[in-house]
Amino acid sequence: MLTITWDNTPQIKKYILKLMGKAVRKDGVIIDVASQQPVVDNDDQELTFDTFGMVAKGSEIYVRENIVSVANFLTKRMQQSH
Amino acid sequence: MAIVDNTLAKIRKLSLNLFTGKTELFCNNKIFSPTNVDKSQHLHLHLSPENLAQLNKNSLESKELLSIIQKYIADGGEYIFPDSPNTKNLEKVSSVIYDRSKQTLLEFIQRVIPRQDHGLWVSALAIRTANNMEEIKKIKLDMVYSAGHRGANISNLCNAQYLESKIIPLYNKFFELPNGLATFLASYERIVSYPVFAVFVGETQSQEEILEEIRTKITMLLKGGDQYQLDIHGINVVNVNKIKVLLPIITNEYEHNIEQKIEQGREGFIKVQIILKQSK
Repeated sequence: MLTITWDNTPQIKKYILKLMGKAVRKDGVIIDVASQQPVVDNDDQELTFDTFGMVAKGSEIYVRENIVSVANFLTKRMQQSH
Repeated sequence: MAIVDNTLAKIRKLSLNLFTGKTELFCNNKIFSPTNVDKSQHLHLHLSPENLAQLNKNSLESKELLSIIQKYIADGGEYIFPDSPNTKNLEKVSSVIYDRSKQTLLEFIQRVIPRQDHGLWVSALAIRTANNMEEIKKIKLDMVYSAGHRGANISNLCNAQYLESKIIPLYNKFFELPNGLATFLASYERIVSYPVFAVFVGETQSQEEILEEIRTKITMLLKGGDQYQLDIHGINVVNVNKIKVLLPIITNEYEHNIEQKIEQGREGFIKVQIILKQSK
């Protein structure tokens, strides 16, 4: 298990996105570098640079920086593991 | 998983040179570390501005680390990369979902409540265990940001224990009846969209706005039929005072409709239950 927690600065956020093969479009939407398609978060919304707060395994699950999105992520994961 | 374990060992070795400072083991092992994984197979790095500068200084090693982490991910290694606020959010939510005393409520939320609201209710439960006002405000703000009025309503309803006192009993009343679940879900939708039986006085609301909301809800309750109780909730001294100023006006205005008025409170908290009746 690899956990990387990160301070939320624009530079570090860009580093994490680079690690995941993602880039930021001019309008702030995060896109996949290979496909150029927008990345959607675990609530099926297009993810922007400002709202991005976490990525986890599970076909790359992107989560907003928001407790509700985190709770959705964990409750879904808990249901899947039961 | 031998390939993944070897890659993780390489990441550990490389990161020793590149990451300075303390990297505490992530505390939510229950979720993120399967029980058969020992500490040596769990690597936690923290990326701070200082660490990023260190990575930028050592470009060769840094590139190697980047590509080896990408390999680890591509090979199917378990990972989670939360920023600092979400690390705290993970801890808060985990403390709710692994709290034995909340299992009945969680089971109800997951089994009965529509999927779109699960995160909102679990976040609202986290408010109950929050340590300070700042933390409560942050969670509420996230809920409003995420779902607007619905988020604010769920936060207030949960905090005032209506999940236990109203929503679950409502489900129990309906679930065995024909079409009971649909009937319950329609009632639930009305409750979270516009809880007609409760007024939650907010900091930004003016006296006039509160008075208007109370009048509207009393009118709706008197027209509606089966619910004749309105609860007015206020937390903190400012909101408690707003309610205390308004109560004589309400009592006077609805003199013939108020059967009983019960006030409960302590410092910085008030709940007023108004039992209504049809005037003759």
